Parts: sequence; C-alpha cells; structure tokens
Amino acid sequence: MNKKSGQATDAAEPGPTLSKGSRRLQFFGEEFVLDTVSGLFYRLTPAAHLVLRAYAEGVQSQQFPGLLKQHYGIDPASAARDVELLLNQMVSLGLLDPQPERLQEGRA
Amino acid sequence: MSAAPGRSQASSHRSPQSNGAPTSATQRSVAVTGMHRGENPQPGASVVASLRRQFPALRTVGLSYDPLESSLYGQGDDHPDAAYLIPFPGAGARALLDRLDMIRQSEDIGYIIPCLDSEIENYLQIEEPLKERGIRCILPTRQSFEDRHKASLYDFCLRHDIPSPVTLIAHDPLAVERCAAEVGYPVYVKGRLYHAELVHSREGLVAGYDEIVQTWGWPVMVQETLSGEEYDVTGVGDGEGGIVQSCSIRKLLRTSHGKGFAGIVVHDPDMDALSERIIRALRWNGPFELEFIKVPGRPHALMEINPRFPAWIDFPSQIGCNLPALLFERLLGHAVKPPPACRPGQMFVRHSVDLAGDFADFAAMASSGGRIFRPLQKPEQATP
Repeated sequence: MNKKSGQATDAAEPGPTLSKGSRRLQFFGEEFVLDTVSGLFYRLTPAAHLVLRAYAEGVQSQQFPGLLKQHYGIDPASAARDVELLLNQMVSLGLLDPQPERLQEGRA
Repeated sequence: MSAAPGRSQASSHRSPQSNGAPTSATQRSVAVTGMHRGENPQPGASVVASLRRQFPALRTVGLSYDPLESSLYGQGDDHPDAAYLIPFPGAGARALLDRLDMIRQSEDIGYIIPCLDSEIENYLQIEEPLKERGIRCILPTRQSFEDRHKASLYDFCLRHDIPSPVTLIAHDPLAVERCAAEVGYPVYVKGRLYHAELVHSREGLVAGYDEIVQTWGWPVMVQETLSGEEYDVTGVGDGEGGIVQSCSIRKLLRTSHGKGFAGIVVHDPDMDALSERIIRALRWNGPFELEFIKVPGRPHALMEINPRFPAWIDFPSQIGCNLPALLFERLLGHAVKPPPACRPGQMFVRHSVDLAGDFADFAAMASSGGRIFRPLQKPEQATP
C-alpha cells in the first residue's frame, strides 16, 4: 500500500476507529481509498482493497485469510500472514482501530 | 426584505444615486477588502465571488490599498463593481473613516466585510461611527479579538486547555535568544501580524527575526516547531459561543510560505469538537479561520486564529456551503439558516491565471483613487 499524499503518516492512536463513522473510508474504484477523518488518501493493492472493503462492510477479521485464499488461490498460511501484515500496516496508518480481538490474533 | 438591525440610526442616510430616497437593504453596496490574489492570496476576491453566487444583483465595492491589486483586473465573478483606494491600516482608524466618508459620496455602502488581519483593529475602533452612518460590520468583541492575537494565543490556549505549540514572546534580541534556547531549536520566529521564519540554530537567529522586526516591529513570537498534517477550519461564529456553520480541510498542497494551494474536505469529530470549544471560549462573532497541525499520535494543535475568512472561502461556496452569503444574511438582519455542511472528499486546487489589462486602468485608479466598473443602477433598475 503506497501513501500518495507525500505527507507524514499518522501513527495508530487509541480512539480513532472506523466506529467514528461507518462511512469513514471512501473507496474510489479499486485503487484509492480516502480517510475522510484525516483527509489522507492511499493507493491500494488489489489484496488491500479486498480486505479493507470487507472490513468496512463489517466482515470479521478472522474471515480475511479465507477471502484472500478464495480470491487468489494462495495457501492458508500465506493468506494468514499477508492479512496480518496488512492489518498491522492499516492500524499503523490509523485506518483501522487496534481491536483487542485482532491484537490477540497478532500475538498468537 | 427587512432592514438590518442598527439601520434605524441610519434611516436618514440618503443615497446620492437615489435623489434623496432611501434605498432598500439589497440595493446598498457591500464593501470588501483584501482584493489581491497574488503569491499570497487575500480573501476579498473570493468573498465577492461567493456573494455573487447567492446575490447576483448585489453591488460590490473593492477597498484596495494598491492599484495593482489583481482582482481589479479581469472580468470574473470575483471582480468588484467598483474599487477605491484606502489608506494603509497603519494610517489609523480616523484616516480610514475619513476616506470611507469620501467614498460614500459616490457609493451607498451599507456593509463592510474586512478581510485582512491588520485591518480589524481599525474597524473595531470605528464600529460605532460606521453604525451611525448606517454601515454595518460583523466584528468580534475587542476581548475575543485580542485573545486570539498571536502574542496572546498561547496563554488563551493554556487557560482553556487547548493543545498548542509552546510560544514565547520576545521584546528584544537578547530575549529572542533566551526564548529560542528555552523552546529548543528548530524554532519559528513569527511577526506580530504576519511573516514566520524557521530558524535551525542560534547562528541563524538574527537573520530570522531581522526582516520581521524591520517590517512589523517588536515583539516577535518564538514558537515550538510542530511537524504534521495541516488542517484549516473556516466558519462563522454567532457571537454567543456557537458556530453557525463551518468547513474543515486538510491542506493537500502548500506554497513555500506554507499557504494552502489545494485542500480536501474532512470530517473529523475530534477537530470539530475542538473548534467548537475554541469558538465557545472566545464567543466569536463573524468569520474565522482556525489553523491546526496534527502531529502523529497527538491531538490537533491550534496554530493560529485568523479573524476573517480564508482566501479559499469560495471553495465551500462552490459546493453549497456559502459562508460569506451566510454572513451577508446576518448583515441584512435576516434569520440565518445554516447552509449544508461540505461533503468530505470534495477538494480544490488553486489556479493562477494572467489577467489582461491596460496601463490606462492602472493610471485611472492611481490618479483618481477609484474606478467604476459597473455604473450604479437607478433604484427602479435594481433587482429587488
């Protein structure tokens, strides 16, 4: 996922989460997403788009590896690792909240 | 259309164009300052363009400091119907009032929207005499104006628990050095009204403040440097602690002076709540611009409060949130219905263009002190 604005990136903070507004993320096709709270926008890889869109639509994070596996035909271990890396990156960008559920998954 | 509050004192005022008959509120001109859209654009032309969107027949008068102010050229929507030279703010309130009295011999000015920081002090001083002449302004109280002053803002923020960069006031060269050491390099050295220089070390300090002091005098502000995304919130305060409506953007592009050259609408509940808290504390009346920096992992820090609309004010107007028109409705004394909020994701990019003119235009303005671009209509020709 490449940041396009060329500005500094927000670190993960307690508080800012998608729950601030279910429409916090605005998708523009499959390539761009705008965080309407920070005004920062990002160019997405196809896998990032798939996961982030699913997240915005309320899909549980445990289901993300299955989504990637189904979409790209990759093995479960690779899918789980890719999802974990992706979610960590999105949390660090402030796009997703560090949910306890997901943090526990990350430690596992 | 009802008459504006305060007009009763002015009911005897006669428009020179109406053969002594009082004109209606909409026929009276609105005068706007800050008409230069140069390297560091001023807001006046954007205010004129916004007013025209909602009040196409409204007569607008540019109050200019220089015949080369850019919006006096061209024929766009930001072009005033007439323009007059006025004395620089440093000449004082009396000189401004005298000049406005001269201009009133040819223009029925009913309202003034000052658009430059340096003018507000003079308008505060002549608010009552203007009222006596039937001219309305919407201005902050002196207290709220002074609380947001660059030299007072840090104390205001401390009192109201509003995040802001450490800012110390220096009245002489030794104090600048002491303040910079206390804040820690790099620091911003800022002028009383305008101008900021980033200084990285003690060696660069004199060069940093020298020009500022020559132009703006003492004191200078020595400010902690914050690095992060820049956000602006513009709106209109109701004078009772509320915000009638506002628009928030993140700066997408910045000029070398740090001015926004492109922006995108955001909707951040935290920044909105902070803005509401600031305006409530000030009980701000009229237009404002709040400037924030968001350092990653920290709350928005208030950098400045400008007592006027920003130069990008015609952007929200173009997408349905016309704040100058809202202000004008208030000037007319109407019950104000807030325009819809801007939708996040809408953006603007500033665009510089070359306006053609003739030296005769410049010469006419410079020699006579005024130019009429659209002759005054007789009352029966004016759109009601």
